[in-house]
Amino acid sequence: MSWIAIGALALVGIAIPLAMMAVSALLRPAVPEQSKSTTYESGEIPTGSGHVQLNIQYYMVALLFVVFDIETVMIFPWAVMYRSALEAGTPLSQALLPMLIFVGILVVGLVWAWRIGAVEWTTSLRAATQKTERQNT
Amino acid sequence: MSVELPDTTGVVEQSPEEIADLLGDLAIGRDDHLNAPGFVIKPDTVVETLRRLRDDAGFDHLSCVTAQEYEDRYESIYHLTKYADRTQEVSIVVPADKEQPVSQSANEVFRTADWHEREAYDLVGIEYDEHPDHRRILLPETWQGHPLGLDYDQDQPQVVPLREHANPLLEDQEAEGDSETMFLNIGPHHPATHGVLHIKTVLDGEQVVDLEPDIGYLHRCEEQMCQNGTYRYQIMPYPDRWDYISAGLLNEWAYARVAEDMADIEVPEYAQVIRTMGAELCRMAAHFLALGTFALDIYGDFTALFMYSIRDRERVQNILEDLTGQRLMFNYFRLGGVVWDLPEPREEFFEKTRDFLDELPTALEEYHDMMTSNEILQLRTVDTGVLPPEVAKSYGATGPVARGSGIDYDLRRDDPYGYYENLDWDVVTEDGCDNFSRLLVRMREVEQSARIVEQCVDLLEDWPEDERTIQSNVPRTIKPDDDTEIYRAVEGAKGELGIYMRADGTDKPARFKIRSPCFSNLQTLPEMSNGEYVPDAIASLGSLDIVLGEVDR
Amino acid sequence: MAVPLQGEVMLPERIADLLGLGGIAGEVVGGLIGALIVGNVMLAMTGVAGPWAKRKITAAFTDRIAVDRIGPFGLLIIVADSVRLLSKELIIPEGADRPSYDLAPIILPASALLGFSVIPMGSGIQLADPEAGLALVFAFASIASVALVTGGYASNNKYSLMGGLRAVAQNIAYEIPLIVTAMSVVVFAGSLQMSTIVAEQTSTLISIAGVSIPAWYAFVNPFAFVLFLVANMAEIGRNPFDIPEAPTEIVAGYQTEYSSVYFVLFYLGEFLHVFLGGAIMATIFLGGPAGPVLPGFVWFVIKIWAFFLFTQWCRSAIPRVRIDQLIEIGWKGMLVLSFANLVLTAIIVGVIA
Repeated sequence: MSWIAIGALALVGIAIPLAMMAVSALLRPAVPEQSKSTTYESGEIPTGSGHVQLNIQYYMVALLFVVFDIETVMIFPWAVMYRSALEAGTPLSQALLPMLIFVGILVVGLVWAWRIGAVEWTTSLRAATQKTERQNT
Repeated sequence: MSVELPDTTGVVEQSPEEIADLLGDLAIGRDDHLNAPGFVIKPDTVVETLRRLRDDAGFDHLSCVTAQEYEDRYESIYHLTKYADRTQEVSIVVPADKEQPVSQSANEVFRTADWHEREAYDLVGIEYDEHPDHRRILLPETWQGHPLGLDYDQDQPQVVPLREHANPLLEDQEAEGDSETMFLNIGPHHPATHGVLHIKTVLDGEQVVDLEPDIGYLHRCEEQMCQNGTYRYQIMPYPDRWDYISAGLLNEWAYARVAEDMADIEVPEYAQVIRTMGAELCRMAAHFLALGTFALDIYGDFTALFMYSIRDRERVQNILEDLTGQRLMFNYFRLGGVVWDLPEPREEFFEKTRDFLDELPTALEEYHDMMTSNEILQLRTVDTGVLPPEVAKSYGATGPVARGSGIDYDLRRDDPYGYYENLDWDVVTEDGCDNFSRLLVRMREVEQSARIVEQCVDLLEDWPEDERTIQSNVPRTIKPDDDTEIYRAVEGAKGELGIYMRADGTDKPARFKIRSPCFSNLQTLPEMSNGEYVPDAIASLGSLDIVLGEVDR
Repeated sequence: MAVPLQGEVMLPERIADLLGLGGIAGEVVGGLIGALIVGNVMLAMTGVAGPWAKRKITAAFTDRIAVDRIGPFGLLIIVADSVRLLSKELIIPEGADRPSYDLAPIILPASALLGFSVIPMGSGIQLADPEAGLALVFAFASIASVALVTGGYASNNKYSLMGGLRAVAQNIAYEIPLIVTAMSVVVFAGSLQMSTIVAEQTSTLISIAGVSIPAWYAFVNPFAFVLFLVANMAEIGRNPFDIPEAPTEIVAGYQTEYSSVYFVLFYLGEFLHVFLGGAIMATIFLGGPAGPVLPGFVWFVIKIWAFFLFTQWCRSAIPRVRIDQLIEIGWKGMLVLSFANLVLTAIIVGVIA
């Protein structure tokens, strides 16, 4: 069973960092001081917390990612079977065509997403206003 | 064999009388300076006067604003000139009441007045009416008193608290109720601010919604130190410390030029050639560093380009060390010449310089291969940080920043000094107005500087031995007449480096004002960065090539 | 269909045999010892790479000398640096979100190490060889982004937050091209099992003057190789895609607030991921541990170090792209190209077969 070995490596993978932490805990000094623990913001006192609700622009493509990720999972079995199926005498129309259609549908989806601009980095509306204001003055 | 002069057709030249006619009732008196006719106006007519001069007479460059306090009044001086013809200058003198020094802000006509007037308020204490952002600029907000005012108490204790900065857009966003903007301090201790610059940025995701450079972390009272030094020897070491990125000789020349013009000192031709050569070597060294640090900003911290450019800068510095005895703080110029002749044996020095110049094209080709022809670099720099020429002019941008926006303006040619007008070289401009253009301008300027140095070396080599005068006869103490005023500028590595001096009959200047090119150039950063991505804002800052020592002085 | 590679036995079984243990006990003990061996080998490699090789390589690219004071070629800097870093004070930033702040530096190296469990390293060193090996290794590798975003968010630092968000946005943009490109290899190999993929590459592609060139998939489908290389650079966040930690913009990205041993772990994790990226490339494109004369394991090490060298070369020579450009390159360029590659490969294979 290969899973035991993988599990063993997972254990080792966690044990190594823990061991290093233990060694470090023995070696390192602890001089607690308040100003030291301020978060670093180029030497200035940070304004507000670091837990900000940021613009969604990072994740506009996240949904698309889920769709395509599932698709890749679907293609895995096909890719594995493809050559052996051909060698076993399955005609190309049966071995390749369905997958082409499957990919084709998703490509149509991608084209649509592309056209409505979903695969692009969404620009911040605020920033865009700043830019136009700047150009107008 | 000489530099091609700019096309000044269409630039009308006004005599002082014509300007007086143009200003009409606005001018209430005359106060001529050595460099330009001066007109005294009332403190509430600043905008009208400057607008008239800009629109009707073509004075489109507010080079500097000098403020000073007299026994009986305050005074702001607006040094105006033209981008098209630098030799035409006019000074607008605005006296303000001693008890209540209030003067109208010129910000409406020239955007560059914004920071200049803030500095005047900060250091001298004149208040500017209608100023959009009337705050201190170099000193902390809580500072008491104005250090260059006459009654400033140096021993007064000052309390400077470290507080968090407010997000200027906080109220807007609460009203809109959507995602939060993030106020982020970039600098003073940040890998990409090229010194201790603090940039207050407000981000919406990855994009800059609002950006404001906050300067003054490296303010060292350079102006006051110069006011406490004697003209003859004590001031010359200071300019090396303004733009300390190996542009020392260029800065020294700014002081040398203004002091020599004020005291009417001749400089022997031989010394002029040496000065020209040294200055251009400094410009190369400074541009190499600009190139390397710009590469750092675009490539990341381990780019080979930085080390390559440092390697070439090092070679220039070796030559400069042979010439001046120093690698950074040269202190090589003297009023009326330079401190000593070329090192002996001269042949060795010429050979070393020529070797460097011969290998320079190969090095530059390497930079072009690795940088300007790299597609990703072009993707990053072309059309980012756009600075249109009108905006650049309004902010008083000069040097490679202005030339990268297609403004054909270079003091070495437009307001000739030294030996430049007798040499064969070109002023480099690029029309892209973006980060890429500014990079290209610097790279091409290195080539032009090499041309100048080469010609200087040829000239120096053939110079008859008995005519090698390095200094003219200059009196041991220089005491210019009382109330002599002059504003003079040279082309520093970053642009127009100007100095205003007023004499009061002693051997020390009564007012010494430095017009730093970086100070004006840095002011354009919000124009280039608002609405852009953070990486582009960083790249734009890099392309401005500022030195905080010169910004803060 | 999947032919077990030369009838090779996995490392744990061999250890169990050597110890004379059988059954479950043998499997567990063998697995643990094998895992320790693999873990420590990789750890040793990152130890050499991080404090020493990286400096030396970058120095060579930038005309410098780098570490050369302690030990031969400065090699003992590895010891000095590890002691130095481990004995630094651990400073936890104000408002840090614990325990996620402490978990992130464990997850990152662990996820990378886990990826090595299915990699055939040659000379019989392979911990496990499940049938879904290739899918597994991608799954393990992408756990890294969880660590990055956790660390970035938990630090309560704005640079870290941006770094973490950038890392995830980048990873999801390049994950699909990466896997789809790998799929075109699976079409050739007909299996997800790592040993089979390696075995399939041992046949001779072409013989030139008596030298037979093996059918490594990098030679069979160079286009896929290049695509995979690019997507891989983005996955591990190296130039020109090092924007999650772009120092000139966001100081150090997600690891800004990590000091002492936590910093070491982040650093270690990143290097492990670089090596894992190299190992995946070696396995599915460069014939795994195959190579003439030298033993398989040596070849495997050479190949992953070659990839490491390549990342360092890029770091010295290539500018960094911007986040929006990165996303567009990923979604508009790489994704389309990887699908084109897959479909064309399938058609060509279909027509030839």
